Amino acid sequence: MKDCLIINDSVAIRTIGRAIIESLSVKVREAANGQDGLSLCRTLMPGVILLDWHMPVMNGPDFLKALHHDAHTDHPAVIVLSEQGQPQHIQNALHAGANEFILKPFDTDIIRSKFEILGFI
Amino acid sequence: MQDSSFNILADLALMQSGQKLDRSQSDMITMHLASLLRRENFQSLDDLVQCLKARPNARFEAEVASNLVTRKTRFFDAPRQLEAIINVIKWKCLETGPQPPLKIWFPGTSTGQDVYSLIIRLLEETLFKRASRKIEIVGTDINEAGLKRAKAGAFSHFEVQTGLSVQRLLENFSPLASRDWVLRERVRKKAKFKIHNLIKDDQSLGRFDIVICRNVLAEMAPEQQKKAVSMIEACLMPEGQIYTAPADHPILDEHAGATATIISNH
Repeated sequence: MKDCLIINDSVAIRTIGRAIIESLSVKVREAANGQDGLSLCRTLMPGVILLDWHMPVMNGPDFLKALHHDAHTDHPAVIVLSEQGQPQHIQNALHAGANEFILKPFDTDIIRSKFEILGFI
Repeated sequence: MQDSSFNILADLALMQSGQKLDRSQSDMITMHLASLLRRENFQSLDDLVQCLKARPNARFEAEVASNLVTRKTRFFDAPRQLEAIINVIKWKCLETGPQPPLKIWFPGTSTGQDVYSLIIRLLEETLFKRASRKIEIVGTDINEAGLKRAKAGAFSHFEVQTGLSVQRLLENFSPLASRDWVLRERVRKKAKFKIHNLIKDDQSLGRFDIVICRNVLAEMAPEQQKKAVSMIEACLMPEGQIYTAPADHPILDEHAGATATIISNH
């Protein structure tokens, strides 16, 4: 089964995200920060990661660096989830290695569309 | 809504736009007419219908009917069909020698995402520059409010995040303070939008090489479908092609003459 890792320090976002993503028949694992996310990736690499940008312990940009350092060849698609929609911020996330970007608030249509664009579903 | 009110709205829709309304669509009707109710200070749909009956007003009737047909459209709704169309445009436009403009028509464009998706792909392929002929793209609809939004090229946070990759968003849009995003001038200036009613208006739009008509006919009543298909056929060049969605394909097949090329896929 396809699986998605949600890395976000907000329980509310993780809960909403899980409900939406599971409704698309995708399995979900959760982590509250980049460090925990990285451990889960080291156990089993997910198909796609929904990544928060600002988090305690390890933030989004540092997680991306560590992930790309870890997985040289086969790293999963990363969608950054953020409430900052300035083009420069989006560009920064893409330069840091994100494949897609979702501007909050989001709904099922947005998640489904981004998964489709990435060829994940 | 009372049955008598529903019947009057259903007759109005049939006459004005050819749309066939079902009693089970009451919620959809309420939703689509909500902003008109607010603007005109009606308490309910029954009030609105009473007013239509008491003071018939052709302009208001047309507005009510056009609000009922608002389709929800999205960017890159049918990506594979779009690529097929891009290939046909390449084939028709990269030949040498002077040629009349290549004309493309989107009937029932609603808020214009289908028109702009094509323009974005044509810009990505630099086809406006490379083509040996001018490429003219027109979207038509009976809904004035939708066309106004299409012309402005401003779309909500939700609209720009369904169908568009983030790279395409950054390449083609600028953010507005309202959190909406607006298409850049270089994209907007390639599109033309016009009010046009498929079952009532004349064929003044001219003749087109490519017609892209998706999910426009299926909601119409049979007689009106026939009228709309004759309109589309009358506006088609002899070698023209009609691209459609699976729901519209059998309707076009049934009513169009044997010479029309109809292509449907997702």
